[in-house]
Amino acid sequence: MSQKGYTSIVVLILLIFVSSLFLGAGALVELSLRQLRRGEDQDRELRLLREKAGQVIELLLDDPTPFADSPGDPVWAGLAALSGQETQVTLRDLSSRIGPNWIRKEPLESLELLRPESSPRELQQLREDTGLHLDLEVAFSELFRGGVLETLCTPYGYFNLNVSDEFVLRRVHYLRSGDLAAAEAFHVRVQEARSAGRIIEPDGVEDFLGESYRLLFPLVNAEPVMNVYYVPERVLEGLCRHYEVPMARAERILAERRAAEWTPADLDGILGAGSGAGAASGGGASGGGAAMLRQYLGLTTWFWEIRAAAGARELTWIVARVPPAGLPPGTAAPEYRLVEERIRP
Amino acid sequence: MRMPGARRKRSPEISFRNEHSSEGGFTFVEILVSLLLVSVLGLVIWSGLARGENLVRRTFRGTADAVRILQLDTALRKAAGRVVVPYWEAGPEVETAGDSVRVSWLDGQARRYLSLERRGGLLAVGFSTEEPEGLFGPFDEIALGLMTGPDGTTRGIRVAVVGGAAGGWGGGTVELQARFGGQPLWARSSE
Repeated sequence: MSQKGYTSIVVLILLIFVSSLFLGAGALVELSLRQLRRGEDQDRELRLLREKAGQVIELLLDDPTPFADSPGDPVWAGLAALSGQETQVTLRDLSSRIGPNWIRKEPLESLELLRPESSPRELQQLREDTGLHLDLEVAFSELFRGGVLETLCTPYGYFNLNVSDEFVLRRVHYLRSGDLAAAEAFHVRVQEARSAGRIIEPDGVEDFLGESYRLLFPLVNAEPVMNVYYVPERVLEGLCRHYEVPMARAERILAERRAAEWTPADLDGILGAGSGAGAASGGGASGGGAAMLRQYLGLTTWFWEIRAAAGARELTWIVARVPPAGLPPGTAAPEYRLVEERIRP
Repeated sequence: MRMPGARRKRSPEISFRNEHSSEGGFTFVEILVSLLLVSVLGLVIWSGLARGENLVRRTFRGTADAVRILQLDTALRKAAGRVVVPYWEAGPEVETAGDSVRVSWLDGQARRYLSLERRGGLLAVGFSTEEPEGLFGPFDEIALGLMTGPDGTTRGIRVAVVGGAAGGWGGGTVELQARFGGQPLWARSSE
């Protein structure tokens, strides 16, 4: 009888061993499956957020007045439809501010963005020494007044041939070509155009850039850098002051921009930069000054930030609109390119 | 009182004891049959246990490898997402040695870099430091590379691993690709 009991214990131990083995395997498989499912859920969430961001671009493309990105555009109504209880979608103009990466010394001085102890020359030197920066706070906070970088400045925007610092243009050329001699030759061409008081128009960019066009366009162009609908009041007034454009024009823009949708000709009229405004000498006389101001102020937003969030997960897209001259011949529709994607957490 | 000449009756209980007592034991054939049965039963149990153990081991290994690859995939996507090449640049600076790849513009800063390094069967992922932030594997083979667009520009990182789940589930090389968080803006889109 005792032998029978012993056998039962062996069988029992074996059963326990086998059970625990299977239990352990089961637990591992369950945990792993849970992790795989979590990964799949996250992928699905991300796909959904990307779809939403893509739909915002569709809305931007569907704008019946592609020459102007105004607060009255259908995209803003469409955003409300895209957002729901679980998903929030937002759109923000990113480029209609001053770019510490490209601003010239003279307008910067007039805008009074720097700390009293800092000078525009220091900013120029800093850019020469350390290059261009995406993180403005890290790079420029010692030179700019508190809060200015967050509210009035942006690292996103194109380098307009007429208003960007000439040394910055040289650096951009060098970054793209890796050829210092070619960058210097380009720098000399820019200097010559400025000395002659010549304003390069968008349709003259390809001729002006020559062989460098392939390297520099659309990064370097002649489109107005900021959208008049979204430019901060202080920047608008500072630029009007610098280019000696009557302040009443800035006031009119500020008063009407919420409701109006202007055409490029309307904006020329408001700023006094219509045909005949002609060449500019970089500021000064009101006609030339207005023409220069027109290089800063346009009706198009070039860089947008699209955010889509669901629960704790957030997707941020930064998209750039390619200027018309960069589109293939015969293509009229605007084109947006994704330049940054951030995913949190 | 018993009558003279009368035969004494055997009780059935006594008779039963005699026929089935333990002293009587089993016959040789009975023992052989029982031994055979026990052996067959033992063999069945043994082979079942062995097969079960093998299955459990394979499940363990396959699942662990799948999780390892999933963890590596998640980590690579996060790491590559932190490489933000500004739109004005031509592309990131990339240093490739036999066992490692280094990519600049980590967190949008030119001097910070993402590094991927093979250490035996492990893949070390680091952020501007000698010490890795994470070690993944082990894998039988690891191949490091860059993900490029049709125009030849660098768009992300590519890691191919062999072993584990690939072998266990009958697959081949598992290739993981992760795009950078930011990329230069060029004249013609080649997406």
